[in-house]
Amino acid sequence: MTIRLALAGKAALAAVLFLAVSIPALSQPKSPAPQGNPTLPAPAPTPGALAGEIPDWQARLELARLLSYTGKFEESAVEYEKVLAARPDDPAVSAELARVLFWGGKREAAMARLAALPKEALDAESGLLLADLLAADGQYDKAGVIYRERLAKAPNDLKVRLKLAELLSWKKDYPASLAEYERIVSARPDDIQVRRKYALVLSWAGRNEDAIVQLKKTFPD
Amino acid sequence: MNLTGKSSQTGIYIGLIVLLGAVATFGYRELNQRLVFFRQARILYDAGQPEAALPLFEKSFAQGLSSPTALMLAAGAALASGKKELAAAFLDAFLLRTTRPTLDQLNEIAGLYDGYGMPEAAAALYSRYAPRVMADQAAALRLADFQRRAGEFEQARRTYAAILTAWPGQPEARLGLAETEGWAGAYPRALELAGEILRANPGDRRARLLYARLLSWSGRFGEAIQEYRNYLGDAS
Repeated sequence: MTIRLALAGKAALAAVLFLAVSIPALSQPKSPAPQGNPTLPAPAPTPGALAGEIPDWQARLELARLLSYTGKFEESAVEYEKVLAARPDDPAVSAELARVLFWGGKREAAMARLAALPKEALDAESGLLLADLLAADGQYDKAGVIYRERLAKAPNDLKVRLKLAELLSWKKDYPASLAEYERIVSARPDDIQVRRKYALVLSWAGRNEDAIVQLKKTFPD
Repeated sequence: MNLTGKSSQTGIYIGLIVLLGAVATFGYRELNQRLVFFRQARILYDAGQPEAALPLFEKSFAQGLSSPTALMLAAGAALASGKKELAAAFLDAFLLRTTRPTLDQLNEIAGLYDGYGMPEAAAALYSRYAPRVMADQAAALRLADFQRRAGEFEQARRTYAAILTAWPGQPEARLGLAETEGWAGAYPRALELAGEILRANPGDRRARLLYARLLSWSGRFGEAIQEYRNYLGDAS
């Protein structure tokens, strides 16, 4: 009986280790991938848009967004640069350009642009993109500050909490990472993927028995 | 004896002056509380403190003040404080006390509503006085704009149609109607109307920009990009 339990435990631990190797996102930090479908909203009617005279930069911004929406990131970036030439102090436009640069595969340029913006000028999406890029670049502390600031405003944003939990695990700050995982798992007890990530970090922290318990919960009976 | 009489007379005068001062200071305050509250409210409102002004406006009304000016100011303070229902109550009271509000007054109230993100209230107000509003071209155009921005596309269409009947070819109404069709998702009709404006006047920049937007909203992205470039003078 004891031998059978020990064997089951070893099998579960082996599974944890297998997961660690087979899921790259779990085993090491990874730069966020450009999304095939940009998160810019689809062009849609905007009430009040034609009121009064429309400045050229406004029309050009619409063109830049349209180009980005249709995946023409390089052309879009050119138009964004022209908008910024007319409005050099518009951080929202600069943040949009950074996202377009990122989608176009120019991660370093995107990070440099976002990092140059005043923190308060970053909207939630741009701030999180900067944090992701910083984390991928190994700048964990800076990324962590942004995630924590976001969580202070939106404590129920589990996506961001998961990012923070992962980042802390990459920093080998296992107690802090596990604390974040526990909050996520308790909020989403049926999320198998998160529980497996939690189990993995438990194993990294040397808590193999706890990892096995968590991992077992993710397998069908 | 004379001296004593003189000093008592002086005493009486001094007493009277003090009494008059007290009456002027406190009596006025007591007798005209509503005006005192209103003036305090006005000072705070003008100083950009609408939330502090609001309870004083309410006190002045509780004391019987009902001047249209005060009600308008109180409505402004209520809107600025985010109390839209209270503002609407003040504005209703204003309209009740004003037998026939002037177009300027209606514009002012509608402007207040719209300024605080309530185009539907502005449209409803204008609609209550429709004959007077529709007799004035600028007011009629504003009514159509309030209606479409409130999402009342059908009413806006009817208003624009009425404007174009009263003032045939009115350019703002033609453009507004084309844009409204676009907002309503009727892209073929919107493009047709915007195209008509452009054919009549190829140099109409607002119509050209609207045309580019309509193409974009309707998913004709390649054509929209070209139209934006035409509009911006980038076309090769």
